[in-house]
Amino acid sequence: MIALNDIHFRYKKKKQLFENLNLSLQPGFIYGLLGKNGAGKSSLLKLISGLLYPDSGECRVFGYDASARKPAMLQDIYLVPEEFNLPPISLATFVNINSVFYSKFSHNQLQAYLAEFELQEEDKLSTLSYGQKKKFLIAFGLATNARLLILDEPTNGLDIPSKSQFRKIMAASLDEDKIIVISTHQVRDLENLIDNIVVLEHGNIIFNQNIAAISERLAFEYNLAGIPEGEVLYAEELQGRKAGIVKNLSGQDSRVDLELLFNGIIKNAPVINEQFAKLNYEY
Amino acid sequence: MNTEFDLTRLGHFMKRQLYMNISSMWIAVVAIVGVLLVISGLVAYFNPEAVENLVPLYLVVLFLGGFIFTSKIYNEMNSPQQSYAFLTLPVSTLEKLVGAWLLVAPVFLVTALASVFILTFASATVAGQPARLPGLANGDLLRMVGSFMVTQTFFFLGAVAFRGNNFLKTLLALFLIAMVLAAYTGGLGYLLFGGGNHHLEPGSELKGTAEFIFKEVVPFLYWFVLPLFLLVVSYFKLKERQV
Repeated sequence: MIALNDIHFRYKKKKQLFENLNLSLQPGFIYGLLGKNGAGKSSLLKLISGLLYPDSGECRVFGYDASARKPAMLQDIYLVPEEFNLPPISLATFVNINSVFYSKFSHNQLQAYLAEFELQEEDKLSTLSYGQKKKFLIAFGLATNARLLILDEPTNGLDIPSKSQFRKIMAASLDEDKIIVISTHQVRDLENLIDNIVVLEHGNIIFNQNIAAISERLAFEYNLAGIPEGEVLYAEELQGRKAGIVKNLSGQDSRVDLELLFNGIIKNAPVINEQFAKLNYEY
Repeated sequence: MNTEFDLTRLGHFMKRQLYMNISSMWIAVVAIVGVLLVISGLVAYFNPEAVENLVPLYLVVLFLGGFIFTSKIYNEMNSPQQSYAFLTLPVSTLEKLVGAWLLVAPVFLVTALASVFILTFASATVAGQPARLPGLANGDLLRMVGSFMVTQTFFFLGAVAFRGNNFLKTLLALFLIAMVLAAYTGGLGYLLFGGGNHHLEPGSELKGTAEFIFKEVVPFLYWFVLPLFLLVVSYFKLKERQV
């Protein structure tokens, strides 16, 4: 489990980013971390992986203090950052020199992921495109069998077939011990993949709900004509019509439109959160 | 596995560091050895008597190369797009420090001294003066190796503390420290002795103290305390390092 308690953090000479930030992430779920540019998504991921230290508060990852960066903790974390640079060596060499640090690394799994992503072990990393490098890092990260996999903008640079391969692989790789955190702007890429949505805005978590709860409490309509105004929580123009989020009064689960939900939360989070006020979802 | 220090993991880390820097290292080694070979060949052919004088040149190159290599040992950590990989690598801070130091100090020295020996042997043979070869193996060499081990720790700290242009920044920092020390000692001397002519009488207490300080304390501080202190500071800088 990952627990961030009363985290305060600021970059040097900049205003406070996180103030009293609290967050708990449970194993067995894929978390979608959403937010606008500069909301603090990457900083939050760096705090969790021990790359940044909080000014106060504590970040505990599987019982370890993240900022201590103990090898026992780090071998259970794999981070795929948004921007990276890989050394000019072959995939096989990269795997050879890095896999030894991960006690649960599976070469068989890696072979399967590389085949799925159409990558060859003999290829040199320097000859791969950005998207191919990203796919390789994702494959390597999954093969480490780390209990916490952190993906920052994983679908950036991936072509359309790769995005669906990515979704397929991620969904298949989750087990009850793993926590997968995916930070992205491209919310449509995560549809049907994530279990929980965490939305950050100006360093604050303004929304944190399970997809099942969202689906039960909210409905996403692409034509709001005829829907009483009191039921509409958020509305936006969509191809000449009004689309939006409404209260789910039918009692049936609805299909969650992540883009509409994200826009609604950013526009008016209290109204959306009000629908979950009496909800106490048990994991 | 010990959570803080494990020899197997240390070995894996050293192997990884070598692989990660192998291409730039090979280019540097080949270029330096190539240039030295050409110089040695020319000297040995045209002025065989001067072949002995090549050894200081080799040692200067060894020192400079060693300082530059040391400054670049944490390049991955100092690169904004690679630092995440280094800092999240499941290796303890102590192992990251010891592994990197072993590469830039003992491993580098053994490799570089072997290269110097081969170059000296080759140039002495070309010059037809193999008797000159023992010139390398005199008592000064051990002192020079020791000096390298001490001064190199400044560059090691610079490699950890600065986030780019580590070699040049370390040189600048050393220059500034030297200036401050010179100003301090000059000022202290002036305060103690003023502008008058002072002679230290043989057997005087001040002379004895000065001799003790400069012959016993300063060498001890230089050879043992300073490098250890710099390595300890490097450890804490490494531990505190964030992206």
